Amino acid sequence: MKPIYRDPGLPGLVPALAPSAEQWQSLFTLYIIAAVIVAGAVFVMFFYFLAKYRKKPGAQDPKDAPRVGVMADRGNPALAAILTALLISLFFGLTLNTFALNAYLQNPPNDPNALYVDVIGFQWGWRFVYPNARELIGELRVPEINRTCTPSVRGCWSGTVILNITSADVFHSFGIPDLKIKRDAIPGRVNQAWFVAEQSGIFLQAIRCYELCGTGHALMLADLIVQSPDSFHDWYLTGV
Amino acid sequence: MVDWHPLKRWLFTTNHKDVGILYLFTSLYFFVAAGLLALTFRTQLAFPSNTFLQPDEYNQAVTTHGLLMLLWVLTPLGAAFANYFVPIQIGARDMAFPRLNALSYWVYLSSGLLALSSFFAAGGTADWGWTTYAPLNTVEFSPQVGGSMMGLALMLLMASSIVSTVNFLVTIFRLRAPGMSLMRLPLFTWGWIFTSLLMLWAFPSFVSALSLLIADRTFGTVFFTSPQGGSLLWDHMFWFFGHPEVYVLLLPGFAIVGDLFSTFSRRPIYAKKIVIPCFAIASILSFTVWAHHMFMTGISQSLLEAFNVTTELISIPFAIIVIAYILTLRGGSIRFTTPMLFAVGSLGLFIIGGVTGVFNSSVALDTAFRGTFWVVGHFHYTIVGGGLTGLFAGLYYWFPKITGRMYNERLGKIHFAIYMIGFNLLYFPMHLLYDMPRRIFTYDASTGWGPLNLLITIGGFTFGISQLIMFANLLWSARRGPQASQDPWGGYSLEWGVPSPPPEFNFPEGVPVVSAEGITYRPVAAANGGHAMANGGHAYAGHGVESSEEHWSRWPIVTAAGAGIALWGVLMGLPALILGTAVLAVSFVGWGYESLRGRETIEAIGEKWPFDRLENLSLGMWLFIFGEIAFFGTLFGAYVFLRMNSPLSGFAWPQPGSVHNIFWGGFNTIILLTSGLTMVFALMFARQGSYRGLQGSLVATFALGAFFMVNKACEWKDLFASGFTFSTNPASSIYYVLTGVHGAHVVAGLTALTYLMVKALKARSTMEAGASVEIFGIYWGMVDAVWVFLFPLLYLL
Repeated sequence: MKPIYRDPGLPGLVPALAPSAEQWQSLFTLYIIAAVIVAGAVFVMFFYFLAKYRKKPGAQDPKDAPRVGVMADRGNPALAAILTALLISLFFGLTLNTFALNAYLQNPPNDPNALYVDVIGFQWGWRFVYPNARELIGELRVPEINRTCTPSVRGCWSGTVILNITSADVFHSFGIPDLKIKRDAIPGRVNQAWFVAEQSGIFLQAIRCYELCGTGHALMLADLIVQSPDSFHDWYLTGV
Repeated sequence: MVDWHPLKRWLFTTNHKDVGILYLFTSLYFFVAAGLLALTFRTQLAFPSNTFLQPDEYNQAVTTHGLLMLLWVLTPLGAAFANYFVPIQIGARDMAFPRLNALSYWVYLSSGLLALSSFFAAGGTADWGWTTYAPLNTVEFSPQVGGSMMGLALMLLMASSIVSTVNFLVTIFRLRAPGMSLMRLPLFTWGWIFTSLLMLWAFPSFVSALSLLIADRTFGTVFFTSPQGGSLLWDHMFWFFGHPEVYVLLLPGFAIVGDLFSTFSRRPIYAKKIVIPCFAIASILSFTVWAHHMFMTGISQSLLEAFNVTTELISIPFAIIVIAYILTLRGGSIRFTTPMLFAVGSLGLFIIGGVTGVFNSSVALDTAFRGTFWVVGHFHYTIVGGGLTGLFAGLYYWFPKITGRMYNERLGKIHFAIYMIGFNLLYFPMHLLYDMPRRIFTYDASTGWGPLNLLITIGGFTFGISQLIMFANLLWSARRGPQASQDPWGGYSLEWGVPSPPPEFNFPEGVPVVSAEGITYRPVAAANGGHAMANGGHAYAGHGVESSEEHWSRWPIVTAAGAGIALWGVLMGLPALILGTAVLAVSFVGWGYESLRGRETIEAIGEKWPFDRLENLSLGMWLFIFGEIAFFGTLFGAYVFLRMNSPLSGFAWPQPGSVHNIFWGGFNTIILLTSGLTMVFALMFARQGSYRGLQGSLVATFALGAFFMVNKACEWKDLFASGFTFSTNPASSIYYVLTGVHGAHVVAGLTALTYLMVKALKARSTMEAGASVEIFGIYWGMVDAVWVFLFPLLYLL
């Protein structure tokens, strides 16, 4: 298999590797649309006023111009109420979508064919421990999605990967940006994350640490290897 | 200005305007230092696999850049303007406590030098990022002494800020000119009120977090090394301070922008009566959003979703303010001189930073953003864009007032153009690097991050070089610029009604009286109740005369130097510690010999609402206690956190009575409470004028307090002997820290009490001591009250 380096690309342009990434992208797009509309409207008003009300040659000051010690009172408080109502309804929409995605990211499916991997961050690397005690350092191997492996079928890998993340020393943060998966690796705590990968391949340096953890922080990388369920199972049993 | 030797003026001044200039130069000095550090690590990141900096150098540069910019540049730059202009804007002759004001500055400088000197300690300075995450910040992972030195420097800086905060709040609430109601205050002064309140509540909680860190690093307690405390304890304590701190950085600049929009568009601020409450709401909400920095820590999801909502809510008051600012322009006649250009730029950049902030409020989107350059881009747009750009607008705006000369307009505009280009080249591409972890010292070319990083670095150098134009412009213009008139902009705040630069006591024509029609000046003699002052009549003060002869003190700088040397000595050796302590002791005696009234308190005769009934000193003490509540409150929070985490992580918290002797603890409680009672007697005798009674009850209070400490020391000795030491477990660590800081408060109280007794003895009368006894009584009551919480917490539960 040919190693794949991922381009960072622009928001929304990265082809998704997993449902988590797809859903993240669509939520992000929703926020971008809202942001462009709201900020756009504000900027248009802002620049329009700046242009329209610039000082004209020979113009007099407005009648209520402030002078030392005097600032006239003006303004319509109702505007604040309208603005608050508008923003709250906007946030309501955004938040419902955020909570939906959060519920998805936070709750791994109840899948008997899921692969559980213990992830242990250390200065400076990632150790991955599989249910049969097989251990990898700097490399996370997972099976790609297998749609025929439903919960009623036994003895297959569905492609669901559940990570139990912790740290052996300092505060790290485990992230797979391509999958839009991230969770802090904290000594003494186990945090869960999960994903399903939809595209097989060797993704070099796809796993990174996202919290400063000492001089090796930048080098705390691991590769993500997504294999077909069969070849993953071969590796899982034999180690090759 | 008085004809002083420049050394006397600049080292010993207590004039708020001189102190402001000192703040200005010092904060700009740290700005250059922190900016150069940023250029070093931007150089490192310009190309993939670059080797300009070693990893540990990179981490130190990043950490120091962050800490210096946030704490030694932005807030002090705001403080420079606040020092210079808040007293004038409210119509006062100086700060309420001019000597303490000078002390705040010198302690600030001293803490900054301590922070910089940590660079040269063996192993370098702190290298854990400005957020100082645990347990990377513990000795096991970061043993270098420079890290502890940075911690002590931060504590010293916090002390300076807390003193300054109390001073400003007393000044603004008590020293306003007649007719200067709170709603008439300019936005900048309002911004500084909320900045001060945020600092007063947030900084003490940072001090308590730092206390635990220093205790871990120097005494071996186990707060951040044990699983009961660890990473999350630090996270909660740090971000409880850290998020309000963001608004501390933003508000001064953001408030200046509002005043400038009004001044340069020649229109009153739109809905000022809504804008000010919005500042208040945002300040309050800022204490309820801290866990949005912890979205990925795996704590309760429903809690995090609540923080998601509060974070969205905090954008509403800011949105209202932004819209009000923009509506201010409507119907105006806008003059685009340099200050206005920077104000416009500041608001524009802040809008972008505010919008990306809404993205960060999303607990789900944060799976991508947490710990990446997206976050770095976001907060630079808010803090540098909104905060620093606004302060630079203020620098150009007030330059003619401070120097009496005009800067070069053309150079100012060139600065603005390059500033904006550099800024956006520097920070906008960071949003596109939303996969790139922050604080990495290198990356591989295969990541594809190279071109954007090069662009960012080019932007960084552009941004940095643009500041040189400003420095050249301002330094040249301060000497050679054309004379500025008293009011070149048509400003509305009171500094534009006095000469440029303002005379020593600000208002040469008398007391400013503000009304709806405008400002008039009431002659000094009339204002002072008809008593003309013999020596030139500067005073409209209730007490004594504040003349130039008393407008200085040599002790603030000595105290600050002593504190800096002593803290340096804590880590670097006994001789420095002894020297520092000796200098401190000498300075305290020196403070005692200076008359309290003449140099310490400036009274006004104008508006004092809502604190009409409190003396300046009592209000100051109450505000200080407000800060103490935050300090002890956060420590109690740490106790609760440790205790609640214990069963989860398999640690059995000691049963009541199994470690601590309830009888002796209870006995000590009674001793301390009795000392509170004798203090009440002291106050009573002081009011009745009974000198003997006063002296007797002060001695009794002292004896009881000292007995409490002796008893405490015996308890500590026995506990140590029984093997219950600093490092035994989280329960022992928190016991020693809580009783230790409380004990330190008792000792500080006993020192002050000695001072009171000497004073009463010398005066042989109660008149002089009366006010001091009352203020000390408030403090002593607080010390007692804290113990009333500590005793059950540590002994009975």
